[in-house]
Amino acid sequence: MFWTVTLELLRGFAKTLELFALTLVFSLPLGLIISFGSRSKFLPLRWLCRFVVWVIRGTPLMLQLIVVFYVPGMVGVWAREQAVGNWFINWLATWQVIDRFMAAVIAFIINYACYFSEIFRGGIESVSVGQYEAGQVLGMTRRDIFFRVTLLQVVKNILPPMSNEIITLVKDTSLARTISVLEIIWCADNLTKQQGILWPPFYAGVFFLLFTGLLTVIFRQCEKRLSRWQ
Amino acid sequence: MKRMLALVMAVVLCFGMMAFAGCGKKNVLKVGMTEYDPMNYKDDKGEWTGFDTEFAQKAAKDLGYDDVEFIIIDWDNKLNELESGAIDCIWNGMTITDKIKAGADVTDPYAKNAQVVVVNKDLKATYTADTLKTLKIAVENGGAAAGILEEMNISFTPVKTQIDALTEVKSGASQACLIDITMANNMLVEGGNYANLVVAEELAEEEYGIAFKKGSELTVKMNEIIKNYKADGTLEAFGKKYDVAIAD
Repeated sequence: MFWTVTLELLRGFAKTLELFALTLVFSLPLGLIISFGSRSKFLPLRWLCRFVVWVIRGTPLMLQLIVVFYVPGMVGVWAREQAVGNWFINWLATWQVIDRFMAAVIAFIINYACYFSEIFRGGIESVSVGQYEAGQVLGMTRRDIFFRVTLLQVVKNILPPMSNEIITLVKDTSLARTISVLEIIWCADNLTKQQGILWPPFYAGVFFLLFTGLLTVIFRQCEKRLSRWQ
Repeated sequence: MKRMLALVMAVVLCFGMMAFAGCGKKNVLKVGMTEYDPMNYKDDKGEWTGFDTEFAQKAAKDLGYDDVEFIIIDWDNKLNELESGAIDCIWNGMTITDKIKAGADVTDPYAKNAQVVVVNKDLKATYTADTLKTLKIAVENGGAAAGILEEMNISFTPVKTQIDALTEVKSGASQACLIDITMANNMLVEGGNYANLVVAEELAEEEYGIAFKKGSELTVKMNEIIKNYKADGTLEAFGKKYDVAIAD
């Protein structure tokens, strides 16, 4: 019994990790882009970025999951029922439901990119203007200044809030069950239901504890290495 | 910087394309369901089986589909699943209620059901018809049992599925739950995982139907199939095999 439960939970945990990894890989660069956008001198872009961040941070992730997964299909169905067909309606009519897991990944990427972008923005703005000016005096280009002077200090400054957010992400993945992505908590819950045993959810908690423990150690190591530049 | 930006954008775009591509080639009937004994559950080999599983697999051929795909859904989102086209039908021992009829087209009944009150064995001895309203009750949110209790003006804790309701009683979080009789017959057996629970009372009778999207022509076709399967004894045979009562 213990063995079958472990196997079943491991299968769910693989899904959890897949979602976690994909979200992290894509939301970090996207977050950086959004943070540039929300600091842009071009006002419409800045407003757009800040508006998106406001909407995404201001609504529950669970709702965003439902929107990403169900709305494209509903729009497609609606468009196919329309009598008049201009190019826009015709385009909407091609919309279909996307894969569940893909929908979850997209929702998570957008959501976390917005949170990350604010952390990045804070990190970039925490580096004093003096450093930027010093770079200019030395004749460096803006790009050189960002990559050779600012970036490393930003990374060091934002590491603690980032580790916070990333650990939250590990646990947030369980929200994906809203659209029936069969991750570890869903598996644990299903075992409880089908077998009538109450302990799998607690056992699933151990998986989370071990994984976040590992992440904590990794982040501590990173912080130690970066403190060389104190 | 610009090059990196372009790269990231390209990757994101590819991702999007991947998501939209790869949608159905074969003519498959997508059945939305939850794992639920005796309607849809897994056998020892991990294959789907059960009354509704066999019924759907046979009927799908007559509906003109090549195959059936069983998709586990969140029961709370069943109408969203149907509306968005993520599934073609809800076929999972679904009780026909006015609420579901408002959101979807429902076929004629194919099986009979009743809601039963399940309590712990110790409570059964002192249980009378008046006891129910004094108990802490758990029922499936938005299900038929919830409707009955609302009508009787009895308060309850809504949980996600019927099995959650059983779990509530087993763990002692609630004292009673209302579930389908078909499920109670299958789950509350000696030596089973819920052996300490028993049926205390049988409440209102009701019937099972299949839900399709509003305006779908499949509803009419399916009604025809149900009529035929009742006449030629197909449903009767499934009913005997899985202990389910067929509708008249």
